Amino acid sequence: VHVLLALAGSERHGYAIQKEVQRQTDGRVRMGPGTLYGTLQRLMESGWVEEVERARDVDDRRRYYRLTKGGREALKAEMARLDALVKVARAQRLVSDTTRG
Amino acid sequence: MSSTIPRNLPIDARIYRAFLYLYPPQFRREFAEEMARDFNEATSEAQAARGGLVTFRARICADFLKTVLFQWARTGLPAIALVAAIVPLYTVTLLARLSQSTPVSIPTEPDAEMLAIVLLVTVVLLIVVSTILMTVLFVHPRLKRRAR
Repeated sequence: VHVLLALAGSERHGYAIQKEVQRQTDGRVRMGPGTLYGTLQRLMESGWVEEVERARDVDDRRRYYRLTKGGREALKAEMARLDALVKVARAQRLVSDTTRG
Repeated sequence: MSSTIPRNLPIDARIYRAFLYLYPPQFRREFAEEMARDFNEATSEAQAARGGLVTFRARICADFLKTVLFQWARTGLPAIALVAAIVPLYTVTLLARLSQSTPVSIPTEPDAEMLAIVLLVTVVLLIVVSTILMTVLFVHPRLKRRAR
């Protein structure tokens, strides 16, 4: 989910994905290269992420990744599921209302 | 990733590049170059932070150990190797038990040599057959899934 969320805004290369995940979680989640590329491999096999063909003059050596349509739908579904879960937790006063963004 | 490790790299980067060879070949071919590049960038950032390099190295080691095992497990090869080892051993044990339970006349010395050769060939054939079977069962469906 973290990787999908990091790619929701724009296409990114591997290291940029790591940095974005770190930023989105306030440094709580730090993915190592093995974890990140293993996750990307599985997401590409699932058809949720694809590699982007980029013009050579942008950055010749980097490989960029982006969400596919299926990946975006999967992300939306997962976010809806988490949102519903948080609503239940709020109703049971397990989550403070001050955390509402 | 290029087959040789450049000599002008810092020692950390050279060690990391060498360790990347422990990943399964397919994963290495696809991602090792990117992983090495990310490692270099992350090292530069960690050097700038106080005490960051030690934490960074520990995190990279943990990540490496966890993911290298996971990636090998995904290939299905450990399961193939395990079955390839267990099936012949089990078969030979079974044959030995059967031979103990049934009265067998002990052959003379030249025949004993022949028996040993036949047994050896049987074990080798069993290893080959079980390896082929496990490859067909585990690896082939995975390749088909990837092709889809």
